[in-house]
Amino acid sequence: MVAALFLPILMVITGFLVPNGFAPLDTLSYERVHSAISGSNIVKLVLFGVIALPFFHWAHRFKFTLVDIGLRKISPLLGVLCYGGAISATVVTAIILWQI
Amino acid sequence: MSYIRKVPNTWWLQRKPYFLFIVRELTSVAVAGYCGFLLYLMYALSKGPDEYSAAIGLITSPASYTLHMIGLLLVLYHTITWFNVTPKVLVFHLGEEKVPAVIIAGAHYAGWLATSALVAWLLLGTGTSV
Repeated sequence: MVAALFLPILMVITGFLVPNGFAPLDTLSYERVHSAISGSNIVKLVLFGVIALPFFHWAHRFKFTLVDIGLRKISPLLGVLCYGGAISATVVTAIILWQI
Repeated sequence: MSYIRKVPNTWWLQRKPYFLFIVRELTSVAVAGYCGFLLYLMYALSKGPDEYSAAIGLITSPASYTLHMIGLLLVLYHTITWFNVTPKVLVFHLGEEKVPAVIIAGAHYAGWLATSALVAWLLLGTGTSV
């Protein structure tokens, strides 16, 4: 749900609006982005949700897609890799946002 | 002894709905890839102005443009197919009447539009410092 709601507009902004000059050049400048994030725990919490939760969205679907197309025998290993990857990404996201 | 029917690993190539299902599941790779990119931007941001400038500079490259284009198509496919099935997942009743599917799906599309507008306003609004 987080991925469905937030990612399309973010991709439009980082992929098209800013690089093509439809938005001000300093929109994603260091000063602006850093000052928006560093002082605000609320902004960090929102970013944490938007960045970390979709990794679980991926983990579940990707694992079962691989199982469905023939890797059923290594299903437990895929589970460890996919869900473990999502958990690792979540921890890394928290640490990085904490340091901004 | 139970009998388990052998299903060939190419089952999803045999019918269009099966294929579209696998495509939909694989849109999650674009989701994870883009979040990985956002995470990389945050990492660069935590390292300092030079690292961040180098990282954000990537979005002007042709590779970024291509990846964003493919990723956006996949993510839009995921969002649209998800909102279109929400009436099957959420069944509400008003008295005896079922709330029409178009209202349930429409509410999700409206929420999507509102979320997108809010994000665009927060990120792009000139003079706003979030």
